[in-house]
Amino acid sequence: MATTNPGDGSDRTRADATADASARQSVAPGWSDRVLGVVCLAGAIWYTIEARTFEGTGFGTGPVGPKTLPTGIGVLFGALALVLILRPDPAPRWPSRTAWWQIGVVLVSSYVYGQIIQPVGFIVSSAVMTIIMGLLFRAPARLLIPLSFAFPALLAYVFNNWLELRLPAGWWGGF
Amino acid sequence: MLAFNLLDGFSAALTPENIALALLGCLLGTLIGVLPGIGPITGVAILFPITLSLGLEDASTLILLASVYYGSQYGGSTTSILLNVPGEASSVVTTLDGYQMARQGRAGQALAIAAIGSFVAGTGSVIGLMAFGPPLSEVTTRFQSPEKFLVVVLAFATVSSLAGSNIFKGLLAVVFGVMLSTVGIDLQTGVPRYTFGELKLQEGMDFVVIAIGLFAVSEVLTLLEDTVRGEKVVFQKAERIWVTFREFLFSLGAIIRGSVIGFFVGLLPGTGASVAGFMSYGLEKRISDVDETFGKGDIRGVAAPESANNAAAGGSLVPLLTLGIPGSGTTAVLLGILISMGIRPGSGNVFSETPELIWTLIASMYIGNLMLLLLNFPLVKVFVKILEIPPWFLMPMILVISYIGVYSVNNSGLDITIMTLFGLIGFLLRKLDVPLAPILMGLILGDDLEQNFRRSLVASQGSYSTFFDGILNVALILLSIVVLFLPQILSRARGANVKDEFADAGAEV
Amino acid sequence: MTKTWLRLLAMLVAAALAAAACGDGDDDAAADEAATEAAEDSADDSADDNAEEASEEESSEAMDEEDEGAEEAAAGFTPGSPECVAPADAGGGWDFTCRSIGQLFEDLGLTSNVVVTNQPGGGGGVAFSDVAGNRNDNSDLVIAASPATAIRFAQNQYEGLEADQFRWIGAIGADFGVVAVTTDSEFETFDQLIEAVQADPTAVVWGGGSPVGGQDHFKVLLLAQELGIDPAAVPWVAYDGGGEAQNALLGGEIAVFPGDVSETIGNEDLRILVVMADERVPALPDVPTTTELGYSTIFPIWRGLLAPGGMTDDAYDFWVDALGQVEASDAWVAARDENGLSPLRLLGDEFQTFALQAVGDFRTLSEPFGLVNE
Repeated sequence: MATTNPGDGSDRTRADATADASARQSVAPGWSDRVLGVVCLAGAIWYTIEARTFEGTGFGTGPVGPKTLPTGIGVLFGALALVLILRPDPAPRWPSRTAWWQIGVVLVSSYVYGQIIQPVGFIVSSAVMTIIMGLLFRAPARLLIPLSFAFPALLAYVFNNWLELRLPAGWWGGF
Repeated sequence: MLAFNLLDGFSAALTPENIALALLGCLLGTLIGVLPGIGPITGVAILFPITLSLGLEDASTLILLASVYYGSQYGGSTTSILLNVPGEASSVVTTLDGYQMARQGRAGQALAIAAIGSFVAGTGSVIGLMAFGPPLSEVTTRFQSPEKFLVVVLAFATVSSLAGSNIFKGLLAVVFGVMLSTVGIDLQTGVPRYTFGELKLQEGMDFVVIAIGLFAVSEVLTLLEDTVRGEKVVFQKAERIWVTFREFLFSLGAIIRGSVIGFFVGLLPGTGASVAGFMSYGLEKRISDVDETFGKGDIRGVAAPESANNAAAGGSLVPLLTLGIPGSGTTAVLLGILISMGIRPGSGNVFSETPELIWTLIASMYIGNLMLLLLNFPLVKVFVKILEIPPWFLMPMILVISYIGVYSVNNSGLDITIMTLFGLIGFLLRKLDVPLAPILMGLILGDDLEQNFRRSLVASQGSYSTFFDGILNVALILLSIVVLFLPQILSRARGANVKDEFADAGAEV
Repeated sequence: MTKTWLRLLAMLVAAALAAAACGDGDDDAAADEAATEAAEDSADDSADDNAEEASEEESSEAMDEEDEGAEEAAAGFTPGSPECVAPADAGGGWDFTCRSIGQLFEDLGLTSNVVVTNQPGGGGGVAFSDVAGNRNDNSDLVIAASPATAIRFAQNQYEGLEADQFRWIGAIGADFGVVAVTTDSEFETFDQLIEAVQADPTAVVWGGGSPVGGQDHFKVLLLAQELGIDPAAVPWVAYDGGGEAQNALLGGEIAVFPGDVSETIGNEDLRILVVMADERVPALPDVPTTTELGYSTIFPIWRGLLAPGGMTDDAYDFWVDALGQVEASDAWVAARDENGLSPLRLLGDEFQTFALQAVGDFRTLSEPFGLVNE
């Protein structure tokens, strides 16, 4: 989490660029690992700086405080990131532009899902998610719409009534 | 007395409810294992929070989840053989001869020997667990913070050196996991760390949320990419699952050798089923491959790794239950589950403190083995049908079930966001060949690493010599160093390591 | 829901059969439809079953409610959907409070089924801020509390929340702090231990199931304050719960474990030097108390309930009365004894005053050590 927080969005575009680069030239340049290394290094620096701000309460909890281990592993993480930058593996085969676009859609809708599940409710938000993914894969519409509602509704029914796990019902209500 | 305990375990595991749960777990597990890309970790991680909502007894919950674990491992072998698609790392090596056999129309024999080998190995490893578990537990219960700290170091050394092809990436993954484990309130001082003022983060990162993100979501993304790329799997048919007595005798040596290697590899903290599969395949090839039939559909090439990965799953229960050190991603999830039930292997003797639970768990694994053997012979055709579910429905289905699992942990939408983020991280790291299981191990064990380190120093009044005190501590340090450089040493000594051999055989990892 | 597993199994078999059936069709779309239909059929069947059961349950509940009608008239308030929030994971002390008291509310016919909600996070902060922010006028809801709650209020660990924003209902039953060593320890009596600590506070390593400033460490703070020792000099090792701390004690890593009566009774490898109470506790009749030995420090760990600040007076009175009835019941006495708790009955305004006083005391004690958040 620490490593990707700063560069989450840009990460994807950078990796995308790498993918295009590796698609153009067949010789694998190892830039993917270097990008990972740079991201990790940035994360390590942020993590270590943050670690220096943790202050214990001055009680008898020993010579090693709450900042010691985070500092140590932050530095180790940075060192490992440097190894990646200096000795990268050959680049992997990155997804095509279309695939990236679709992965992005899935991730964004998954994020939105987490934001709306409580107000909108489990069934509707799950159905919307299923329909979006179905559209990505050109699912037959006459099956997609009913199935998108039937499956979450079935799950909601099972979980709410048989398994005593309450899924959020939302504005439209549930079971 | 030990046999008595196991018998007790059997009688507890053999109630109608528990048998039904084991059956359910085996069925669900096999279905999960057969699903492309979705392996045991995902299965156990998604089902755990859902299982909690059933309000079952702890022992029954463990039976269900252990059966899912076994079932999904078996389902993974099925797809390795029929599709050339390994369900998880531990059955990668099975594809070598298994898929070749299937192409020659001998899928039935391959599936049968995999089931029989797993069963024999499972039986053997239960006996081994009974022999090693309780006495080792007697010793490890006396471990104090310095020893516990060094054991975690050993586990990290093992997992990072054996988890992937590049040791630095393995280490990077472990360290990343440890970094995640520092999120939350510091146990010694009560100081919040990396919580961004978010109250929910004070409890730390939830391993279920991270596991589902790293494994389930990233698997869906990988599946998505494959589908976009238009890759389509072609599977071989298995008409009848059978094996002749001659073929069984022919493979028996491989099964026994595989079981023994698997068990002892499993004993090492931090190594799991996949290493065992590679090692036993390599050894079996060296011993038995006089006619150079390995890689061309030799039944022993299926028998050896399938026995080994099953025996290793049993063997890895020894460090799990005695030291609290998991041997694989899945056992890491099992450990997280045990901890959430208030059972803390490694800080107490689970064999004497909660014998009912532990022996019921062990007995149920044995029963699960038998059940899988019986289930798979008639049902494999049904299981394979699940592959015909179109991806446009399968993917959202997996996601929605993941959401339920994640949401039910804390009833919080924030967890879904964290899961999504880790889905992306998992997908990118997978692409870059950074192993994911070490992240989970780092997350679960990171706290033990830090707290035991600090406890040692308070108790020793600040003297670092406490870590070098006694022969055991020195041995643990030396062992960690050896293990960390083991792959390099092995490849220097032999010119190539087993994974290279595997790569030579021309299969896609 | 004892038959849950059977239903699950039936569902799964239905799904497997459906999968098998669909596999034989050549047309994918048709196969999907078949699968959906099969799944829906099985869902419908079981839905019918469930509906039947539900209606049975409802009718029996309706009867219960009629029974309660008489009491309701007397109390003026009955919670419609009573809920007890345990601000932690299942298995801890707060969870125990909710589950045992909630069960007794129901068994004594005081309320209908009490739903226990586990809301972990921030040592209770997630639950408290949710209740104060979103459900402040909910009269059906109570929250489990203990001195750990008061300590966190005192140290401002529940961001933006104060103890007097809630209505404190009552406490029934108390655990007490103890000071435990191993049976082969050099300390035979509490006085010997105190002598050694006074001679050199750094010489004896203490440890327990909380960080510094937490519930177990607070026993050290209180003792140190009384003895005039600098508590910061006393080495403290925190463990993940009292069980782990006891293992460390037995292994010799720490010398003294200031735990609770309930977690140390029955462990024959421990020697309990003192109970931090004013009177001997039933669970440990042979162990002297701090008061007996001439110290003023006592540490009761009460088990109580509090409620959202917006709760109506009627509802507050109902819960106070209900908790009082639980305290007086034989079933509670049995549960209390079984868990090593001592009798305690603090209800309504009396408890409100007591709790706010405790928060103030904890704050006074925490402040000099920088344990109170800004």
